[in-house]
Amino acid sequence: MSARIRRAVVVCAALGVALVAGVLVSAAVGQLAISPAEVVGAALEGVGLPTAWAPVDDVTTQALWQIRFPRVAMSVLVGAALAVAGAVMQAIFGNPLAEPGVVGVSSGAALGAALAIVTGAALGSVASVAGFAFAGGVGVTLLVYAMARANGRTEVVTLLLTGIAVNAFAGAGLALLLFVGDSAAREQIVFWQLGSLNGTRWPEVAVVAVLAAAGVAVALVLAPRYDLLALGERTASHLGVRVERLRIVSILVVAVLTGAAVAYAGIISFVGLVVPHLMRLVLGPAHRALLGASALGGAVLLTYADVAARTLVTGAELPIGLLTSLVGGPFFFWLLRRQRTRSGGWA
Amino acid sequence: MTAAIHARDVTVRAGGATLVDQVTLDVRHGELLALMGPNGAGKSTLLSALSGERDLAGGLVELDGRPLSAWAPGPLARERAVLTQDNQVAFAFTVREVVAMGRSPWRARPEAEDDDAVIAESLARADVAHLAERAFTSLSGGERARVSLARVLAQRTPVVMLDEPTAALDIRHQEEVFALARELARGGSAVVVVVHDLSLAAAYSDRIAVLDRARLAGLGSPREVLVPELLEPVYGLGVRVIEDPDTGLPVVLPKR
Repeated sequence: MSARIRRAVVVCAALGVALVAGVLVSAAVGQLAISPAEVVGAALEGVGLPTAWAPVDDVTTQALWQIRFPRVAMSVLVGAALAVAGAVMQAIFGNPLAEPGVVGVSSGAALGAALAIVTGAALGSVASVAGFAFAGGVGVTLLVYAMARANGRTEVVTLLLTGIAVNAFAGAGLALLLFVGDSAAREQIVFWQLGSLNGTRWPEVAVVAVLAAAGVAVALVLAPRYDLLALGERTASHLGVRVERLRIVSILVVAVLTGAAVAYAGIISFVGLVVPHLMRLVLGPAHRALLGASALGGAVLLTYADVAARTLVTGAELPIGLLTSLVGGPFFFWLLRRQRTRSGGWA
Repeated sequence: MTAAIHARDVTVRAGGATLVDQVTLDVRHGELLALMGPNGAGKSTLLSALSGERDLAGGLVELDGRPLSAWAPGPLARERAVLTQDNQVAFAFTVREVVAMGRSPWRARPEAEDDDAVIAESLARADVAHLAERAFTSLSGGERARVSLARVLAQRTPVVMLDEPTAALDIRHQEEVFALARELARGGSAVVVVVHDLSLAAAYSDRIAVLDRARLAGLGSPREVLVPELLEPVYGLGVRVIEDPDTGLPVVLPKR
């Protein structure tokens, strides 16, 4: 027991260090080269602590505070939110393959966003897109929950097939919206779907920060109950857990976290699958440590993914969703194979 | 004295079928009651009605004199523990973690101070201490059943319900589990065990309830209940009841 706690502390410390380093690198790289010292200096200056490290030149400070810092903050928040959403989803479905992207929650959000872009083009505000994406995510989460469960449990096959159905339906909706939308709307939809942290502004960061913090906090409070849920819902209820209530609250947590992340950053898949899985391998399945470490791990993953997205191709920015899917797809396949070998079947 | 479990005219229906039909029985503190009957007779359903898991179509179940509906989930989990037949754990929790989950109803209460001692004792009593650091998912069926039993023991409740705890166990562990169940009863708990092995039930239980097609067909001491006149129509099989030469308790054999 204590060995596991010690390991959790070590892992979280390592992830913390990796996160700080990633944040510094992410803020430092870009068209305008800024040294990490200047990044630290500008950050300290911004919170009212002038140091010798502060950039001499105003352009640098401006670039950091108006463009890079909000973007870095968003990558941290989105990564944490997606990873925790994945871990919670896996906990309530009792299955390591459950992930908002895989079961179609993200496509639901995409459909919502596209609807906002096409119909509300006059309003055109980022907020309405985010709001619709959020609503789409919540709607699909509830739908998947209702559809994939039979006799109080969820089988992998049902879950994945539900995901296929939901993704297909959302895909059709998106195609329709692309068809009826004008070219500006089309472009916006396509790029939104690819996922990007480009152009993040502070008010958006604030909204996501509030939602992500609330979601992660609720998940951490519920963590011990997720452990009990692993025993099956009958046994969990015998141990005093109000299973149905726990499930519904958790579904809302997943919807809030995914919706918040996807609303501004677009579709970034597989973070919720890869991160909790790796953390589970290292830390074991106990949920308090798992959720905490997943939040950190997701933040680390997305921070570095964003750096990669901006630097892999000179002069252009790769969509971050493309990168995570590129890594996540094969990972998901490997996980599926492994799961199958272990349990001797798909169910 | 109030019965630990008092069931009156308990009726459970599902999908038009009556799974348990007007069963009345009491289980006292300090007593081991075996719940028996053929497959599909309604044993597990009755147990889940007694545990509060299933809604009743009629009748009443009282736990320590209070109707089940009046118990909040937390206090109920400190009052009665249930071992179900499916011993699945979704992720690779260690055996110790699984047993520790049995302590969760006591969280943030003075009793939680004893958690470590209770967990260690439960692991030892269920004979799984040597598996403590293993992943539950890597265990055999019999080992899983014993770990789940240890989890139930860790819950330290005055009422214990076990649904076929011996189904996957070898003969030694079957005996040990029943010895343990009787020990719990001697310690003052009310213990209800669903079991198929008639002779095993005869050796360890204080009373036996026999269910036949949703109804109570017999209730009494092993000697009273385990007689061919009662068992043969229930199981649809000729049986021979002999006396164990050492204990004098009934041993039931099929007529072959």
